[in-house]
Amino acid sequence: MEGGNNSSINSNPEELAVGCLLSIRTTLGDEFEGQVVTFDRPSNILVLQEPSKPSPRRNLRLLKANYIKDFTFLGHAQDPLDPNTCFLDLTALQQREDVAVRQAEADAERIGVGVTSEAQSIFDALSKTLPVRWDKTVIVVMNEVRVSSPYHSESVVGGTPAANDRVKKVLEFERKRLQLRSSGGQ
Amino acid sequence: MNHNNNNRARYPPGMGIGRGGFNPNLGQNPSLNQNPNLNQNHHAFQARPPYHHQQQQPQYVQRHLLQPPPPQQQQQWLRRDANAVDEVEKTVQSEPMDSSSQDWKARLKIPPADTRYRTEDVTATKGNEFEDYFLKRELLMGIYEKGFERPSPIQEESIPIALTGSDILARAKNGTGKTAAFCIPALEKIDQDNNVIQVVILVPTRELALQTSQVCKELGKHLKIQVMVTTGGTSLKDDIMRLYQPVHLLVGTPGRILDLAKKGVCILKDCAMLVMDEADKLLSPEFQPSIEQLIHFLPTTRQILMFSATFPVTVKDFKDRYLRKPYVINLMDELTLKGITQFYAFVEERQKVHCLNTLFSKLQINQSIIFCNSVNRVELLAKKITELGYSCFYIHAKMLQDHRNRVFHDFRNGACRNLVCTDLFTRGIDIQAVNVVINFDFPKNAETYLHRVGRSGRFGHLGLAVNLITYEDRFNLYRIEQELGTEIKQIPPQIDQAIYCR
Repeated sequence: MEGGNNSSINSNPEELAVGCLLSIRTTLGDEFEGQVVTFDRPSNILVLQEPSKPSPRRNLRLLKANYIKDFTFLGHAQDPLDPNTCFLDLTALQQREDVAVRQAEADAERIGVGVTSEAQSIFDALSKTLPVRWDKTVIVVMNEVRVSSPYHSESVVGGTPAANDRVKKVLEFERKRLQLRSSGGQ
Repeated sequence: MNHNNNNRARYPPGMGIGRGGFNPNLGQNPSLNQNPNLNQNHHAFQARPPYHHQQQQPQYVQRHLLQPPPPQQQQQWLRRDANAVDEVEKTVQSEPMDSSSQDWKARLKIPPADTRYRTEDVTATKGNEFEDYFLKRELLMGIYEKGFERPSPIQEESIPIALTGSDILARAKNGTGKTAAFCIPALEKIDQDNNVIQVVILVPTRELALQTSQVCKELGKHLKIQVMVTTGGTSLKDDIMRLYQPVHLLVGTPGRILDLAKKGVCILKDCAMLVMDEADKLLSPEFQPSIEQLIHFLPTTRQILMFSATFPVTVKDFKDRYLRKPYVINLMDELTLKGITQFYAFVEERQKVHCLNTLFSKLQINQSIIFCNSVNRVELLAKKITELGYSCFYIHAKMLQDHRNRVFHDFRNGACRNLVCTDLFTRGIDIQAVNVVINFDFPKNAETYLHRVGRSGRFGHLGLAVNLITYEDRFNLYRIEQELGTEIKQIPPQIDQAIYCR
């Protein structure tokens, strides 16, 4: 069995051909089997499909070829991405991307700009149970109650009396919790 | 006959046995916590201190001990015994709990955990705990001792919003924790020392009223909140007599409560919260006039919480007229027929199996679900399909829930291509691999059709629906088309795979 250096890989391109079944040992000690989906020369990354039960889902592994210590050729099988036998639901993939992008955008909007980490902690605590958003450095709760720096109950303005009182109360209790947590009392 | 007159002093048997379990929380002033000589009529459990919204202050304590404040705006017939025990109790307060001082939790009498299978209607949560709402400790005790572990999705969405005083319009299915979603904020907001009706919960039926009031009493068992039920079909005289006793929370049907309000025995000018459960039924022509009259007895600052499984026009109209900037919660994924191509095949009953065989051979089925209208027909059809040489699973309402879940789980994982079943699903089919739905028996109404054929908004896949229509089904077909605003065409000889295969 040849060693796992780059030259051996380059000298045996047919052993990394699409569809090959390989048993691979990495320099990190992992051992696994997989089928070659593709090999990207510029990045030196090998894409492998792991064996799986009959299911629409597949597990792919992206492995930098430098990390291959040695491998065994197990056989040759069909191209796993053969368009004639493989179905990729591009619509579903596009939708997953759209959902992921929207989620990332929503997560980004929750990060306050130009505020202290304490302010961000208070925002996160309030957002557990109430709808909140940032208006620059002001936390806006239910689109009507505003909590300004330094985010104490005296900084709470706006909203109906009931909503204002409730935000003050939740703010005080959440601040107590944050203090307990930071002092290691949780 | 439903007697509520003695609710005030009655507790579940054995409640007071645990000596240490229900002692009031020790305050900082030890003299206030000396065990006073209890009046003989007081059950030991009643020694627990009441809760005040105002924070305790020495001046208040001193003033209170020297000169009890006169009752404010109490109705003339509401008389509260002002004895020494009550006065001492009032000065010992319990604060809403944060995560510190958890001793009280260790003494809860929690029922065994419910190990039944639960759908994501109650498990798809954000991860809140009831303590995240900073409720009174006594209310938290009631919640945990009723067996609630953590809030369900509808509770997560509505409890904190209700506590801010916002009006709410919430759409959620029955069985998802809806009742506790409005009972908990109702109980939290009630000032038990103010002997006026502070919350009214309207429900459309007597049975639901009894059920809802029972939930309120169980959740509030450690609070001193008086709950009354009033509905048609019971003695008006008994209800009038009951209203001379303290009532904080009134559960009932609209007509009876309106009757009592008009007679002047049910005073609603201090009612700060109105809950309308099953609002779509409460706004039927039978109830709506009573409700609109009833609202005029409430103060203009009232908060209205509406819960409904459907949002018909009547609910929307009422919301626009009576709710102020309501917070809208919709936990029911909208089913849609977008992306679904729908055909019908006109056949005689005895031709249905042959027609199904033709569909199996002609269609490119990834996975299919075939609906029948009865348990017997599911079993008969599953047998026929096997005889035709195709594989199928089948499930129906008479199977054990565990077995149904296992079969469905295996089907979802692709263990079988075809599933024959009755109407077990209520949120549409959320299996992405299912691209064909066959109504072997045509459904009776539009809602069932939508549940069988429709997809939740989260899954926008293309799909095909084929309806086997007999002569008797033709009017149903037309009506369902009209009600759903969709088109069901006659099935063509060939169906383009592009419209349902990807």
